[in-house]
Amino acid sequence: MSATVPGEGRRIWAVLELLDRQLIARDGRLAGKVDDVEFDLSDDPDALPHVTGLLSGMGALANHIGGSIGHALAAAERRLSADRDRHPSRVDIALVTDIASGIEVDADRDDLDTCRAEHWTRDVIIDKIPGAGHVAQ
Amino acid sequence: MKKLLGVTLGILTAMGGFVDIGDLVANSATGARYGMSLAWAVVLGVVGIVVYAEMSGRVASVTKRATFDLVRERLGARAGLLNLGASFFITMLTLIAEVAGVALSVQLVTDVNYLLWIPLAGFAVWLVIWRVKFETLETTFGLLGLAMIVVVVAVVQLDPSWTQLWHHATHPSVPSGEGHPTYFYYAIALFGAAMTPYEVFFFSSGAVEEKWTRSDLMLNKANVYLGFPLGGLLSLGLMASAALVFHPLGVGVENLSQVALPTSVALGKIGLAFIIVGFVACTFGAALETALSCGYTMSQYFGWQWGKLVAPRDASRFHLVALLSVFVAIVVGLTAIDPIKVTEYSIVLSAAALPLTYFPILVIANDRTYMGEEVNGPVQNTIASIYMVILTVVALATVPLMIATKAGS
Repeated sequence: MSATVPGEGRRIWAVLELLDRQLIARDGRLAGKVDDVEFDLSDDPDALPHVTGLLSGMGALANHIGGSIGHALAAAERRLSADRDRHPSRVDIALVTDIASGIEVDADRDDLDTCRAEHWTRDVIIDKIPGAGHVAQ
Repeated sequence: MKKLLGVTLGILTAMGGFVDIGDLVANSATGARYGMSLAWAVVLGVVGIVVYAEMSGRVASVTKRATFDLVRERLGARAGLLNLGASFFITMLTLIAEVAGVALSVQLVTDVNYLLWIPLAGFAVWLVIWRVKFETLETTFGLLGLAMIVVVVAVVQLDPSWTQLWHHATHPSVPSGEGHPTYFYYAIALFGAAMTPYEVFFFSSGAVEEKWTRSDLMLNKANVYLGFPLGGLLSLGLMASAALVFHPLGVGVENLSQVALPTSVALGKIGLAFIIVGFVACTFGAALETALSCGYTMSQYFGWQWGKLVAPRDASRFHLVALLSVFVAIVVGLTAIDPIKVTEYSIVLSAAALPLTYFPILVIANDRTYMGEEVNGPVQNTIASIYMVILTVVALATVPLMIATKAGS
């Protein structure tokens, strides 16, 4: 399905090979799903568009799903986020090291933009409960 | 010993699926009302869940991906989300019933109204999820649940005419005075009780938590082939004990203390003690299974870190979902909603929603790019495809039957 052409980067079927896949950070932690894909369209009409980033999170998912469910998700996302007109969280394609059943990203989870909500939940709720930092023995 | 304990995942999964609060009552109620003439529905369900769980355990061992993760990948964001909505709703309904079920079981021993036990039961469930290691949880509740085997001992002790029981079970007929729709409604309830989607979410996620790999495929088989038939045996035991004690008298079963009655008639106080331990362990196990499944399904759909291998702060949204689910279960339980009715609805709805999660797993179990050599063989595929047809027919028939029979009343 995919072939490497020297100088052109890897050709992929973005919808099949990227969309809805699991993002995995360098530390092996799960870092969201690929909810949408960002392309750069070249001026040359014959050139293939190339993938510049992977979008992840409720906002990207809402855009991708569309329709009334998408609207509802987007509304919920706007309510929950402090910054009203920010863009969906994104992982630059340069950070991607492997595209298989999971997509491996060369960054620690804590440094990824896609985990803001995870961190918020951790800092504001979970850390307040005794034993939050304790791995079950 | 480690090998022996290795099958407790399958046992706990099956106990939570087959002999949770609703099924304890539903199995006894059908035994009292129909004798053994619905035993076939349990057997059909056991074979189905064995096929389904074996595939999802194998897929989890080979790909390290749990069921709902793959559901999203195969169905896409939109259909996956609808699937998540349906599966989460059913699992949540079951959780509500199980938390109340733990309280009802404790009420049998303490004579303190179960509503007072609900917050405590819910808190205990959450605490186990928060603090206890997955393997410990699985071994403890899997083994304690084995106390339910007392039901089978009770049936033997009641000294039935085995040929007659066998004849009833193998020559099913609708008893006179009962309508066909109601009979089939109960058949779907028993089938749905055996094949609940949360069993598979829990089992496959458990396999990932236990770090199963390709070399654990035998362990997967052992878990499936031991655990689920054992669950089925207990279901049939409950049905037979009620068929022997209540059916001849024309008495219906409506609550948990009646479920324990045949066992205490046959085995006295010791039998009663065992069955109550079994009730508490199985309902508690089912509550853990469903609360964790709420967290698993949602986290796996959205790609959040999940599981108990990391500290709660490193899987914060997973733990938040589990915590909120238990909280909702406590609050709804305290409204004094009838937990047995709630599970009856949830198992019937499970039957309707099952093809949604079964189909993607069947597809992946046949996908060589994922599974390599471990794809379904021809025999597995034949049986699995027959079940795809059965599940679709059941799914289409469920809701009309539910309406036509006013939920089996």
